[in-house]
Amino acid sequence: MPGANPTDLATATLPPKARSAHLLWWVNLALLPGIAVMVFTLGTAYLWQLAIAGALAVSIESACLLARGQSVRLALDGSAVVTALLIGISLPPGVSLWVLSLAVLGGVGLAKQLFGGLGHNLFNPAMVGYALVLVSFPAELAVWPADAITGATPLDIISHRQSQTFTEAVSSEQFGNWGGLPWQWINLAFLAGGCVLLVLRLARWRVVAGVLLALGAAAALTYDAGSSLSNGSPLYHWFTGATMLTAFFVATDPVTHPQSTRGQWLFGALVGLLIFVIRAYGSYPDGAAFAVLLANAAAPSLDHWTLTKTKDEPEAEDKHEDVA
Amino acid sequence: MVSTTLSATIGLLTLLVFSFAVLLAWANKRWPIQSSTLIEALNDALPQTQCAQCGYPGCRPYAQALADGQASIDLCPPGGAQTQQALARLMGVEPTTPLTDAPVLLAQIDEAACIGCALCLPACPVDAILGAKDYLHTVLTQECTGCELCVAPCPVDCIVMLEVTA
Amino acid sequence: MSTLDFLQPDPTTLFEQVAQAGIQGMGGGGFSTARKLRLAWQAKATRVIANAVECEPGINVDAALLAEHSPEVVQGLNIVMTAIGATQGVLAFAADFPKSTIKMLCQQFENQADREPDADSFAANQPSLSCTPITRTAGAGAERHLCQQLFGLSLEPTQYPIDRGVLCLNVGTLFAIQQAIVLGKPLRQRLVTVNGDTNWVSLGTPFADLLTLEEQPGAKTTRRYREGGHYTGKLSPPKAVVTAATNAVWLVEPATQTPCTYCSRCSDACPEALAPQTLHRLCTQPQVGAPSTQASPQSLSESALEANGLSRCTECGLCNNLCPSNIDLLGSFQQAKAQAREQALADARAHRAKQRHERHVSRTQARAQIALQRRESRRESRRLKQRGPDAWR
Repeated sequence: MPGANPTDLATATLPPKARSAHLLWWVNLALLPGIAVMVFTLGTAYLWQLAIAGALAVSIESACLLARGQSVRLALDGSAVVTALLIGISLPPGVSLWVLSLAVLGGVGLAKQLFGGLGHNLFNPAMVGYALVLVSFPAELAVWPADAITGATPLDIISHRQSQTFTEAVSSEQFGNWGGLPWQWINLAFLAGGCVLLVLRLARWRVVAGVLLALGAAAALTYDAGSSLSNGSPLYHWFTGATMLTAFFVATDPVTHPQSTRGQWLFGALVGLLIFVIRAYGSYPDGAAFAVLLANAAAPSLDHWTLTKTKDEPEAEDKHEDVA
Repeated sequence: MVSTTLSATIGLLTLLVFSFAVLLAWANKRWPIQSSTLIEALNDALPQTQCAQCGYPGCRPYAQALADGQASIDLCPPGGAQTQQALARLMGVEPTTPLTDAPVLLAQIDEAACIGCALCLPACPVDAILGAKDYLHTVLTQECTGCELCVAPCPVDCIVMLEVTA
Repeated sequence: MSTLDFLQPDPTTLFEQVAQAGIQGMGGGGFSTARKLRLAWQAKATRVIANAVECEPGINVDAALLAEHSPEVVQGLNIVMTAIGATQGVLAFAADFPKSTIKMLCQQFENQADREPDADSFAANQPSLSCTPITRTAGAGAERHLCQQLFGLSLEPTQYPIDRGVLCLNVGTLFAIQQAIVLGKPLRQRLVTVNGDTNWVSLGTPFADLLTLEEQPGAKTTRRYREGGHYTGKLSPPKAVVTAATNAVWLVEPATQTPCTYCSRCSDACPEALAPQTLHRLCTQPQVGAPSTQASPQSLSESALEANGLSRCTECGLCNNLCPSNIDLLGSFQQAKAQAREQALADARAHRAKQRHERHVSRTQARAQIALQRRESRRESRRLKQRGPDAWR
């Protein structure tokens, strides 16, 4: 039979396939706007802190992979650097090197590699590392000394004001209207980077929405126009402390949040609610790390409750329509 | 001030402990563990070969003995490791001597040697041997559990156990 | 012999000839064509679809066949329609075929439609032939989608097109039928897209031999191949050969597997709305809290797998092809499903054995009871006899 060599035939090409390492490096890139603003407001020393944390994380990861008999190349897949950057951002600038090292060791070594490496950790590694030093050495982490922000963060002030009204407390310093001016900019920058994650589908929007909505709702419900007992407006809570960083970069760690869509909503809401409760009623000024860790612990249960039930519901039909 | 807080704490905790103890005691009475459901669960975990290798005349009597605490969980060779672990979970104990998986066996009657004595028919716990007195016997391979109980009664040793591979 | 002889065949003889020629569905399903024809004939199917909508981009088998052999395909369609008594034939082809091919096809079908009805061959009614372009989207070439798109028939999940009077055959199958009936040639070769090039290949050719020219001799055994489309194709076992259903073979670039990052690309794409990442974790990781001596962690996670819908996985392979970590998700699902099947068989066997044993026990007990009663009554009657004949008074 005659051979047909249809070189002129339309050969539709496949979309390029994503690679895990590339995706993880995109997360690092998305952190850059926030980091840039932080370096701008807090000084270049901050850059060194992040660089040291990154180098430490990669070397610890390499050592662990070597000990576990795995390919050392996995240390450069970007996940260790994400953890290191998140730890470096969370710790105040100029923190002692040993505190930084301990946090990275706790994050990468303890929370991630001891649990079996990437994809096997139950808790967010960065938040484990941060929480470890936060509860162990509170004095080292209490201050955010920098030229741009004198003394404490707005959350500190609100936490420790005596009889000042909310507006007095915030406006008495050089804070802006919502959450202290530099913090607004930092949060806005992380929001911008976070949007990149959402567009690239590296973060689940349901988690982000859950965190922000729950935090906003809780703040709105208890908001009393700024008396001395006020906890601050939703806007204030959204743009202060580590809200945006947590909502977009920490809570959205896909390994440690539920896989079902309803579970992701609930997970986000739990994180948002816990952040508000710890901020408003806890002894720590910001509670993002603890909120995420507690919600991480709840994630498998959320999955268990929601995943098995969503099977035959409209969700499935939606997806069929997408394909057709 | 300190002593008041302390005594309040101690009082509160004692109260909590006591109330929970009462709650647990009541729940224990209200929802007793049904031994019959345990026997059923144990029986379901057993391979149902009815081979009596455990020393009990079948799987259900063994399950009964297990539930009564008279038998250990490592007496079922056909079930092997998997059954042992299932029993261990149900009984809440650790296996003492881990079993290995036994090969799956199937009885076969050498039809040239069979004399049609019908002695093996009642020996089969699952009625998997077809035949009658003075007629040729044969094994229903679909039903045979490989318990080997038919081998001993045969007067001419015409039943052999074949190992089933995958 | 004129063509009309083939257009007036005795259906059963034709089916026999098709079976003798070893023709199977060549679109990828590999179903026996003779059986399919017989089913359609019995169901009095009125419509026949000649399917040239290639399931996926990159495969050019149907396009190449039509470019060279569209008259034969149309003849095959006529043969089939006459044999089963169908009145409407539609050639569905992918809308992105080369312009020249499409033009040629349209002309061809106009000619067919205009042709004078022959009293002998079309005694009952004039069959209508047409061709329709179909846009290539995911699943466009599937029978169900074609029924929906061409005739507006939405099939119930349990229905096949034949249940609604539609017979769907791949153009390759029609060509093979034509070759078998008209020229008496059995199905011995087919068009296969091998790494992008479409050529005639003999059935039974090992995949390894399809690509020898490009390779070093030693690499042959270690290479892996994908059979079918980029998206829904499957990784083939090392010794796979070309069958009637093989439409494309691709050399798989060896990719290193990295850990799952739960990026959810698989669950976003899954047509069954499953969560492959969760299923994969359940398939491969021992359950948390399982005893360390556990021989098979699978047995524990089986119920969890079932709860997460493993049995609903259609093994379409989309997840595998999207995974950024190159994880063989489909492989682990197939393995888990096989294990579940084995377990189900063993469970069914055990259940039967249990029931039979229970019946055995109750029967032997009842028999013993009867024997006991008989013994008792015999003893009783003996006692009565000893006392004398009038003792009962």
